Amino acid sequence: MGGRRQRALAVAAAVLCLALALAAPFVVGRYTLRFLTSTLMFAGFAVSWNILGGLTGYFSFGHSVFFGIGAYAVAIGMVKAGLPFWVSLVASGLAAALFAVAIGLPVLRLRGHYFALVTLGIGEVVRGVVSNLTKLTGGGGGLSLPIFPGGVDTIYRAFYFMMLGTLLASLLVVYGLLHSRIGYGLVAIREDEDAAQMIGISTTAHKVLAFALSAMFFGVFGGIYAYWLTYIEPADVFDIKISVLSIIMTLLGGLGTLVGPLLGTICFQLLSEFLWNRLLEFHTAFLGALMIVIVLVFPRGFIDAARGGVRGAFRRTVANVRQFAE
Amino acid sequence: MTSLQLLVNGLLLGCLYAVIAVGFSLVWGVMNIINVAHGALLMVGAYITFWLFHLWGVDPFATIPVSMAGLFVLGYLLQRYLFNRLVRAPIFMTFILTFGVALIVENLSLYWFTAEYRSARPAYSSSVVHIGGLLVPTVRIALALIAVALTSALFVFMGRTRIGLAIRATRMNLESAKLMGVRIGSIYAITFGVGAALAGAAGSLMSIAYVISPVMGPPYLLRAFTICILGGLGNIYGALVGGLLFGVVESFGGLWLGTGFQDVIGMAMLVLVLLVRPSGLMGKRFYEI
Amino acid sequence: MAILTGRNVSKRFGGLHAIERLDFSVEEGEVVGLIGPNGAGKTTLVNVITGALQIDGGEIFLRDQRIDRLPPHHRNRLGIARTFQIVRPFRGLTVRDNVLAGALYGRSERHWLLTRARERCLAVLEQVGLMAKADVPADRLTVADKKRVELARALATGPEVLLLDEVMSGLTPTEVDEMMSLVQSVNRSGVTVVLIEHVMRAVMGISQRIVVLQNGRKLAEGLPAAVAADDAVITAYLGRRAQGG
Repeated sequence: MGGRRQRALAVAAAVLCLALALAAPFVVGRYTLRFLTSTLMFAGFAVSWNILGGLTGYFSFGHSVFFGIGAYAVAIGMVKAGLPFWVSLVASGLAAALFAVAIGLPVLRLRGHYFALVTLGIGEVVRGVVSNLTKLTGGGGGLSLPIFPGGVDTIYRAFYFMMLGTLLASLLVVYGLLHSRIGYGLVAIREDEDAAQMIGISTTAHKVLAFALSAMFFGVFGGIYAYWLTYIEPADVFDIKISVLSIIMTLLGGLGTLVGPLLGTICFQLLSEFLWNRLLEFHTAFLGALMIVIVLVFPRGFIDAARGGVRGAFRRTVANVRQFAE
Repeated sequence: MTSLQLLVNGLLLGCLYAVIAVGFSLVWGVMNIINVAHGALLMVGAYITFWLFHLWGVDPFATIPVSMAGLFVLGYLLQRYLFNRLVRAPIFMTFILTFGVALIVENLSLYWFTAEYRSARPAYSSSVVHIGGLLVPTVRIALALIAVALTSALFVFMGRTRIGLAIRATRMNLESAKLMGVRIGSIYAITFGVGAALAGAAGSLMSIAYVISPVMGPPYLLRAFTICILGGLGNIYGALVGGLLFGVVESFGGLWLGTGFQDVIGMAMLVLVLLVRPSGLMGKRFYEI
Repeated sequence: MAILTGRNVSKRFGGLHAIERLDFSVEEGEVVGLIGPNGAGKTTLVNVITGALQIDGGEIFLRDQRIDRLPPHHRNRLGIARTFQIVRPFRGLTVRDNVLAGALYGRSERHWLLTRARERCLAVLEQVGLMAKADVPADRLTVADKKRVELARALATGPEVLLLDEVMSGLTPTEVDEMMSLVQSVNRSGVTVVLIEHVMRAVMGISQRIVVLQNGRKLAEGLPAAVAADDAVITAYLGRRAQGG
């Protein structure tokens, strides 16, 4: 009874959100539209990262590498190879996914923190390499891309819808996973990888798939971002903040759920806009502080805390804080 | 550049890497904490030396004890009041926690110290020693010697002092250590403090011969991690050997690949070792002297 | 017809010979009890048969197919399933999802569509007696029920051979009786069972044949009554020659 009603409410809420999202670009001002476009991209990060992180249990600290690869794929494709944007965008997703498969096969053999630190390292290393391949990538100086044709409002709206489209695609993929055999395999790996092998799950294949899927979306977002900003440089598109943000937003909203990363992103963006966007120099420090707070107070994110209803969530938060203060 | 010169350069550098790795390994081996802020702590030590040298003309070598003391206190406080909360939590939580601390420390340093490259090069740093056709800057020899001294001091500390024994006991058998009256919270804080002090010392040493910046931490963190894996977790001898080996490989690799790609060497080594022999070259998994 | 055979199987951990040139054979449809003092190598044997560990020497066959080079998930797909000594259900999932995961993977019928797998899942839940608790998260169950979930999950993969590692440990006498009859009913439905146990009442009660391991070697083998009276076995367990009378 409650289940059916809950589901109906959820569907209604989703339809409403989608309608709002589609209408927004024609209603809000430019600043807000930029903010929303960024938010959609961050939400996409969180949802995609969650495929490997929340669903499969492998926390990657280096997903920025796929964003950067995607960005450079589009930049190089358009600037050096003269390809149209859409072709380059496909290439960006593919390049990121292929790179994920290539490093995934060795690296996914590692568990937990080993995996996390290696992914962190790979991110750093690729950034360094790209900065040094000056002929191909423009090196530290970066690359400039052509500008999207059309007026300012057209540009803003176009990129808004590109980000929205990619986000919706990622949500569909996660939804599909959660309701399919592969999704069960991933979750089993998260819960107990050895036991998962014992019931016939080909863990390597599943992990590599999750890695490649999440990488692909990051690549596509990177590609769109490159065209949006029309200028990219290694320090920017391989910025570790991208990885960190993905993790924080997913942790805030709840690992392993469909909607959690979305909620976490919205929450984060609101906090970010009203608290520390005024103090850009301390942005990273605030992220660090937020990570600490989340880990100490909400180790499982809001959604898990909210399972017991609002009162339950409050009680649990108080208990966590009290435990910390003792 | 002859091979011998590269080898000597590599070994000298490797001594410094050993100090960095040994502190990291200690914290990991005893408390199962991967201190992602290790690089940031190293950076703080480097800046302590730099500012004392730059503002008050203190000889950089003389600042090393100050930097070590300062970092010990910082590390002790961090462990005591923050990280001790999560010692029994999944290791991943401490990873994120130390990561958050690293972000804060790096951001604040970037803001206060600016991103300029600095160095604490004293006037005598240009002197070189000629040994059989090799050119070795005296300062680098001094750094290597200090590094070796610090590592040896750690061995003595762990093997001969009461606190050192308490730390090893805590690692080997937490419950028994508790029953014997070891105050675990303090031991953990002291251990982390020692690890931080070593990081600080390494940072000070770095600032004397190399350039420093607020974002210098992460590459050293990754090197420390790689070296610990190479040498076997929690194994101090292993960290020493691993550090030397790493320095040599980087030295030769730098010639072959160019300095821009040096980090790739480290990463490649890391991935290779993790795949082939996760327990490290020395093969021992638990804390042993 | 022997369904599971091992020839000259060896497994070393550094200097420790956990299993030492062991030959074993399990007939299709039987219940074999595997007993022995702690450290005899019983769990290690389960681990090498299922692929959690690689053997250092010898061969293992499922019917006439050599399996010791295959990855664990492949062996499960061929028909070998196990439970763990320290029970390991998927804690964050419900009972139903635990079993469903098994039904989705495992042998032959690869249920791509959730619907087919769901049917199998329900059938197994029924067989094991967990229908009433299907939507309870696994970490909220009693030990006995956790063991059932693990058993159900293994069963859902459709195995021909089921290796149960100390499935009776930690159970009350009543629960042991229930588990004994469950294992027997599983065996009657066509699954060959290898039962590693310390609870003598259980293993002696339902096994058709007993194998005794000590220090990685086979100490004795035969009918339960014969093995129980074997001097060497008694010495292994009690450490001294049992006096007559």
